[in-house]
Amino acid sequence: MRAAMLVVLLPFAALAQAPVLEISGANFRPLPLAYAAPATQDDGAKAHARELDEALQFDFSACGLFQLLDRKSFLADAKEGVTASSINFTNWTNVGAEVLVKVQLASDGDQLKGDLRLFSVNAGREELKVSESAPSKDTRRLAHKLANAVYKYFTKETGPFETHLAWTKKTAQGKDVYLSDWDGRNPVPVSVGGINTLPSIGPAGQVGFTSFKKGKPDLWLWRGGNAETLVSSGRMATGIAFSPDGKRIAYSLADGESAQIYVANADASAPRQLTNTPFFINTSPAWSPDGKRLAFVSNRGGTPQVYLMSADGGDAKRLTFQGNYNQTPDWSPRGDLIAFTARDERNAFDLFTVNVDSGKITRLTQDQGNNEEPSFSPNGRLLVFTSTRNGPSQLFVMTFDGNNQTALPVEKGTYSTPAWGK
Amino acid sequence: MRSKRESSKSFMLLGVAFVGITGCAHRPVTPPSEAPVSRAATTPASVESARVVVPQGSAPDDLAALLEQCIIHFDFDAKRLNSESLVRLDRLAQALRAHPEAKIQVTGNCDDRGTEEYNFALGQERAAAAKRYLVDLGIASSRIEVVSGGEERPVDRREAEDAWAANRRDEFSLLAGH
Repeated sequence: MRAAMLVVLLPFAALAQAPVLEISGANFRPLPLAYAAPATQDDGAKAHARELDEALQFDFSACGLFQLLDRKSFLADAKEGVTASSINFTNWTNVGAEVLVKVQLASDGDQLKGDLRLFSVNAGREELKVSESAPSKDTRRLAHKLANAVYKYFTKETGPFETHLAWTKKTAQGKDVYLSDWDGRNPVPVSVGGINTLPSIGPAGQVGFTSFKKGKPDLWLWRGGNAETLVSSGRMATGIAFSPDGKRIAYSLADGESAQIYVANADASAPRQLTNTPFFINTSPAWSPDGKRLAFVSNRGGTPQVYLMSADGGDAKRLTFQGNYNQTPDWSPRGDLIAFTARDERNAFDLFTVNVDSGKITRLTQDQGNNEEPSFSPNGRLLVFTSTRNGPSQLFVMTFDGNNQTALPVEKGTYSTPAWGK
Repeated sequence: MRSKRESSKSFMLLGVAFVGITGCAHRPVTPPSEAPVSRAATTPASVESARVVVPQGSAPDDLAALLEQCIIHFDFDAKRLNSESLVRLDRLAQALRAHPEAKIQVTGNCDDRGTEEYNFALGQERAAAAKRYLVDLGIASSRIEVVSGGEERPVDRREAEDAWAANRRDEFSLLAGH
C-alpha cells in the first residue's frame, strides 16, 4: 500500500537532514506564508497587478500547503524591497510568517513578466527565485505558473494550478458544460443549450460529456472547439470516463431496463459489456490509475454501493459496506483511495474516502449542506466537489483528507458534476 | 406542449368518455415499496381514479391527452409500481389497445437528490418498469420507447418533500407520427 502522505521538504535548515513536514496525519501543519502585495515597475504592470494578486492569493490559500497570513496584520512597510538585504525579517517573524513571498511585475509590450522570490524568514535568506512571463491577457496564467514553482519547491511535485476543471452550470432550461482553469475561472463553453452534463477530461485535454441533443442521453466528445457524438447506441449512455492512457473509455449504457458498464476503444469501437445484472443498476465507472481496474456503483445488493472489477470484466467485488447510498466513486491518481458521495444517517449527502486495500472509510465533509461529486486533482492532493452550504450548489476544493475546504471564485450560479483533469 | 388549460379541457372530455374500463381485472398488485424516506410523498392530482375510462376508437387527440394526464409516481430510490400506478397503467393499456397504431414514449424522472449519473440509471429503470408492465398486459414492446430524464426535468424546482415526490415520475407521450 502506498502511503497517501505528502512529504514537504523544508530546505531552510542548513543541516543535511532537512526537517520533513507531512501533509497528512497528525504531523501536518500548513506552513505560515506571508505574501506581500506585488510591486509593479510600470503602468502596464500596474494595470494587471490586481488580477495577478487575486489569482496568486487564491492559489496559495486553496492548495492546502499554506496558512496564508492576513495582509492587514503585516508590520513591514508596503514599500519594502524585494531582496534579502532590504528586508527587515524581524517584522515578518513577528507576524508569525515562516515563509515570505515577494513578487515584482513588469510589462513588456503585450507580455507580462513576474519575478517571484521566496524567503526563509527565520534564516533571513532567499531560497527561490523564479521568473515567468505570459501574455497580459493571460495574467492569471502567470500567477498560476509562479504558484506552481512555489508548490514544486516544497513538494517536488507538479502543482495543480495549471490543470483544468470541467463542470456544468444550470440554465433556465437545462445545463451547460464548461472547461475552466483549476480555480473555475476563464470558463470556455464546451456544450451549451439543452441538457448537457457529466463531463470528464481526457489525458489529451478532450472533454467527454452526456447530452440530450438527440433527445436521449448520449455520449459526446469535444476536441478543439468541436463536439460530436461518440456513443448514441442503446437507450441511455452516460458518464464517459477516459482510461489514464487515453486508449479506452468506460461508460454506463442501458439497452434494456438496467444500466450496465461498458468499456470500448477511445473512438467507441469494439464495446464490451462488463456487467450483466438485468434488474440492477451499474453506473459511474472510474478507472484505477494503472488502467487495470474500474470502480463503479451498483445496487445489486439492494442499495447503491461502490464495487471494483477488472477493466477486462470478471467478478465484481463490493468495496463499501457502510451506509445505504454510496455513489460517484473517483479513484485517486495515487492509487490508494477512492472518494465517493454518500447519504448519511441524517439523509445529508457527504463526501468520504475508502482505502482500496483496507476498506477503511474516512469522512471528509460534515454538517455543511449537501456535498457531492468528488473528483481528484491530477496529483491526487486535492478534491473538487459541489456543496450547498452557502445556498445553490457551488464548486469547492479541499485536500484529499478533507482539510481547507474553499469555494472557487466563480460567478453566482448552480454548479454540478465537476471533473478534474490536466 | 399543451397549455394547462388545454389539457384540463381535454381531460374533462375524456372524463365523460371514459366509463367502463375501471372494472377490468387488475394484475396482482405488488406490495407498496418500503420507502426509505418520503413518507410525506403525496401524489399530485392527475388522472382522477375510477371515474374515467376510455372509449373504443376515440380520436388520437384523446389518446394524447390521456397520455399527458397519465403520470405515475415513485418512492425515493425505487422503481416499484404502486397500486395507484397499476390502475393508471391498466387504463393506459386499454387505450393503447383501442389505438393499435399508436406508439408512445415513457420518460422516467427522478428528484434532484442523489447524484446525477445514478439518477439517469434510476430514471431508465422507472420508465422500463412501466413498459414491462404494459408489455405484460399485451402491448407490443415495439410500441413503447423508454427514455431516462434523470433528475434533469423537474416539474417542481423547490427543495421540499412534495416537490421531490412530484418529480419522481414517469411521463407518457405520443411519439411523433402516430
